[in-house]
Amino acid sequence: MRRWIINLCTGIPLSADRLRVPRRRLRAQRKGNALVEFAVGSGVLLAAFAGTFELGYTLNQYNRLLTAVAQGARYASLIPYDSPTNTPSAGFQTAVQNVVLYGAPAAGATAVLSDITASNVRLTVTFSNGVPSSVTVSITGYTVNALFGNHLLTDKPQVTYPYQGVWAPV
Amino acid sequence: MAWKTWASRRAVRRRGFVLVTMALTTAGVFGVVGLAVDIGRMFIAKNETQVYCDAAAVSGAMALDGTASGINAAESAIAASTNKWDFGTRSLSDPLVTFATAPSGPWVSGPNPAAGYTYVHVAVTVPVTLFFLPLLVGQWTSNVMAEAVAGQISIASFSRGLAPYAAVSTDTAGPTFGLIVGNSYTIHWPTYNGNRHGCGVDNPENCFNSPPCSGDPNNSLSAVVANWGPQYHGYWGSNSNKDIEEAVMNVIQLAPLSMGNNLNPLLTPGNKQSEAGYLDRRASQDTDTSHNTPSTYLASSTRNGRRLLPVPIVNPVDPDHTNVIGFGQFLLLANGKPSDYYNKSGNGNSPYCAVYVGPYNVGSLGPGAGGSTGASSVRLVK
Repeated sequence: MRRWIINLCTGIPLSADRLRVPRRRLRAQRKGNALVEFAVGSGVLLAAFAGTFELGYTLNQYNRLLTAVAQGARYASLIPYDSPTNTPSAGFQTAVQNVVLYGAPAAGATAVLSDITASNVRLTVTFSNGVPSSVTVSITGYTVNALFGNHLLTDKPQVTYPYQGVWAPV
Repeated sequence: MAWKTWASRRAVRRRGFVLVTMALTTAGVFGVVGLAVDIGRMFIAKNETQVYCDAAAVSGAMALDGTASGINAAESAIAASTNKWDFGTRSLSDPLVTFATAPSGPWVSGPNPAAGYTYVHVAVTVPVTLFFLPLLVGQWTSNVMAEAVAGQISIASFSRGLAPYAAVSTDTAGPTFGLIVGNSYTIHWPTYNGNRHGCGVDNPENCFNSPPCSGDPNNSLSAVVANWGPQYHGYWGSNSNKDIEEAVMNVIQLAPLSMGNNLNPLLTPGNKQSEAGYLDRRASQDTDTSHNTPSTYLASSTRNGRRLLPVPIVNPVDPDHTNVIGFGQFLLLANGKPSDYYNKSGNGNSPYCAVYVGPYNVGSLGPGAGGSTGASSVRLVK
């Protein structure tokens, strides 16, 4: 049995079949719209989340390095300084670098971050009136490899402590 | 007509829904990004300011000496702290600096008189700019605060850091053990001669070929005469020239030493000529070799502390027991650069004298504020 629907605007009776066509078209158009919106929206969201990850990851790595550097600087400020000049002895330098990298004066198996080496840990001993007065530890030449970009750290993070250990110049 | 109205209303409702959804989604996205970026930056700012406070508190505590000038020196040292924040780009200024006699407080700023003030508290607040969270929290900055407490903690034992000499006192009350700042005390005693006229425990000054240093009280002289006699001179290092060099120049001890230890097994006659050379060499490393009183030396901006010699303070109670009762810091005498004061005045019969400066605080360019042991080291306690 054929169903009739009256168009209330014009008063002309319309077959239900005639109404189904524009609805299908409408649905198809909406499907297309949703696809485009999804593509655009997900692109924006993906970019936002990728950027968020990138920044968050870099900040996290920086914070870990800052903690390690602070630990190394504090350690360097306490142990005997066995060099007559502001060039530290190999033993002193290695011990401080190990504290930064491994959290202990002796070399460990896993460094605080991947790919970081002793050459990335810079130790500066400042002399005042001929005696050690402060120690500065920093990270230099290390690249944080995030998702889409690399961030080169030059003398950052950097921590300085007053030297309060025993000077052994001989 | 009704159908059109209904469809139009439905479209309007959908537009509102999209608006609400977009708003909620945007807020959510900003929230997530804000958590990662803004909160991440706040964590770094917290870490950076904490490092600043730690280092500043340590430098401040190192300058405390129980006087108002020590408080001023501590405030200056804190103001000179160089650690920065905001990824190491911005200096910190105007930290809140207070002092206390105990790690729990009460905290006061600029105490005067300053006796007993051995702890310093440094607090700083920085405004971290927010980039994403303002949409949610309605503020463009968030204050991040950090604080640290450092203090001079009493030390009762040393495995390294003491010179191989000893000052004598029979007063066991720290932190000064009856020693008077500015007085000259014997750290290596003159040659004992029990055959000299009038020598006895009651007249100990007559028992030495040369008079001991001017600040030694009679009680100390009597204890030395009665218990050390000709055997010991207050030196407790090796007699080897190389060991003396390391002991005087690098303060490498023959053995660990603690409060209450009997120093007697470590006492040896010493090697005065060798010692004199290294004492003069150490004194010559100081950039101030002209001031021979604690007040003038400590006021000198050119000093570097090499003439300050930390030694144990001992009480010879019987011929077999010389007890360590505490520690102190002494100023080596000098007569210009290079100094040859001990070589000139340190012949076999003479004493080696040094001027008492006060309690020993490891790593400081002056005396510490003092504790029961007469020795301390700066530590972070918070």
